[in-house]
Amino acid sequence: MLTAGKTEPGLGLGLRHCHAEQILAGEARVNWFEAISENYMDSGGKSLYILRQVAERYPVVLHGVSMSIGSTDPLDFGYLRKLKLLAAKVSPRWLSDHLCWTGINGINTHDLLPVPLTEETLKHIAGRVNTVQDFLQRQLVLENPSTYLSFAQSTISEPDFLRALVAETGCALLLDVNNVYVTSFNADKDPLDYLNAFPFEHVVQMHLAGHEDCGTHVIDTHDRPVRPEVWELFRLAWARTGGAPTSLEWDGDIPSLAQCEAELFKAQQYISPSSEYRPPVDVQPGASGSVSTPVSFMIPNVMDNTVGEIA
Amino acid sequence: MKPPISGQATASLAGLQRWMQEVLLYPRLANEEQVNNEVLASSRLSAADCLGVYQRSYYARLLTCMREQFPALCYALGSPVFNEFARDYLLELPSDSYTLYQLGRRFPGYLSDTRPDRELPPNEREHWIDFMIDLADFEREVFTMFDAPGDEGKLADDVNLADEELALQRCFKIHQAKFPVARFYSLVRDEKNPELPPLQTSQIAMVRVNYRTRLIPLTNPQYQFLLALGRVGNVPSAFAAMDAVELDVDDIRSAWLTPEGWREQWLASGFFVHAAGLSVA
Repeated sequence: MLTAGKTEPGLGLGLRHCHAEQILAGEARVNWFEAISENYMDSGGKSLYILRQVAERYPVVLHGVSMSIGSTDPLDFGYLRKLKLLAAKVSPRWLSDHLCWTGINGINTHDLLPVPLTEETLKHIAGRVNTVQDFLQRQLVLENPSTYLSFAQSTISEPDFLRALVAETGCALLLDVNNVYVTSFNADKDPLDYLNAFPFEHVVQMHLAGHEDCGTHVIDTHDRPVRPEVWELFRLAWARTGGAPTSLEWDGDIPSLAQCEAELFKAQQYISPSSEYRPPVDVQPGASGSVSTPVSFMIPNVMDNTVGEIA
Repeated sequence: MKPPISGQATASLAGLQRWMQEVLLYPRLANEEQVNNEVLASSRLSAADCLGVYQRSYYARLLTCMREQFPALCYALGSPVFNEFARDYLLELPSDSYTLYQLGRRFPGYLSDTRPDRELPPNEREHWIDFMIDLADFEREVFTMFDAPGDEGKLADDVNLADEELALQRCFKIHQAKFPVARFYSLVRDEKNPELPPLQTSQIAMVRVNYRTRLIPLTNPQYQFLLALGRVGNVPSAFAAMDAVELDVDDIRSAWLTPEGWREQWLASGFFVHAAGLSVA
């Protein structure tokens, strides 16, 4: 089975439609790109063309949002077949999705919904991960999600759940440092405790992103710079993973490629061997009303890609 | 889709997911006791408020995607009314696909099926509703052109090719509407703030070249000829099919062959591929 490795260290960026022309013109300075799998699986047009071009020039990884590994619906083998075909076309370094479910009864909420962390869930998801890995003939990488609620029936911490899942399946992990902060804050937990319990030896990639502090809770908005408290967690995580490849996700109010890169390259301040964890200063809460798991960036601006003749 | 009758969440994973999906799609089904049984409050938020983050985001997230997929319709209706229609649509027909590209697939049909004057004879129905449905249908067609299989790099533009050697390329469609929807769409795109147009049949070709979709107005004979060509697959047979639509074949052939006529214009516009290449495409 193809396994993910740490042979491509460095800083990467989420591939977004609005940056495509600049990237293909050779203006990108990042080491690699992360593409949202579902944007390309059915494409016979521009999306796939862009991804193929990018994949010829940079290492790419595929990151999915609809595998729904935690759902009690049957696995969607039509989806998995298309994912496998896409992977064959662009040879991603690894292929990831989230520890979540997205819907049941054939419905997709297009959200990354939390699972109760129980022995029953662990057994259920481990079985599905094994099936998926057998089908795809490669290791699956799973990401810790942002969560906004805790289930009363949960009995296992998320780090312990992921550790057990890796032990059961041999899957690898994508550590989203921002999600660690968001989930911990919303559950009244200390993110340092989360990281101290995390199975870093299985991490093949990390994520960075911005979130909104609504005072009473924080939301994983992916629409602003990485917060100082997350950079400090990243400093620890980088050291403990031995420098796992790290990408920035920016999905709402997406700025220019250069601005995204500038944000990503702030990471260099935190990855020096001599850097030490510094407790962040308090930051002021922003306005509430933001949307978790923004997805509209996945809809291409078709209108601007249309040339009309006005009769 | 009718709201289900929410039962007690069970301790099983399946029961919990059934309950959570119900209260996401139908927030009014959430009762406080159930929520408190399933969800822990945080030090700052009640259990219902924690669940509310997911409930609020569900519709907000998908409505944004709907506005992105139907920008001209959103302009025509205004965002508040568009959101109402789209929210009702998502309630009735929640997403059934792993890809957001399919989110608006059933929206034109939903608008048509639920129009308030659907019991009236067609000639007595409200024109503005006809226009909204036409526009939604058109926008969905344009949207699907973006990522449809195409023939970039293989288009035929050689005027010396024989008629028998020409076939329509894969990313090509013709569209007929009761209103000039393509013109309206283009004016919205160009930020010209168009008024709702009067009833006027419009026919349009959509063709994708170098991953850009071009909208080209058609006359009725052009539309009928391309319709036949799409059906029969080759130019000579399409000429033969013109009798059935009561168009003069000689006039069509003349318009096709004349210098800078249909043939040359459409070759230059990327309508065709070499028919011999189809079997290996």
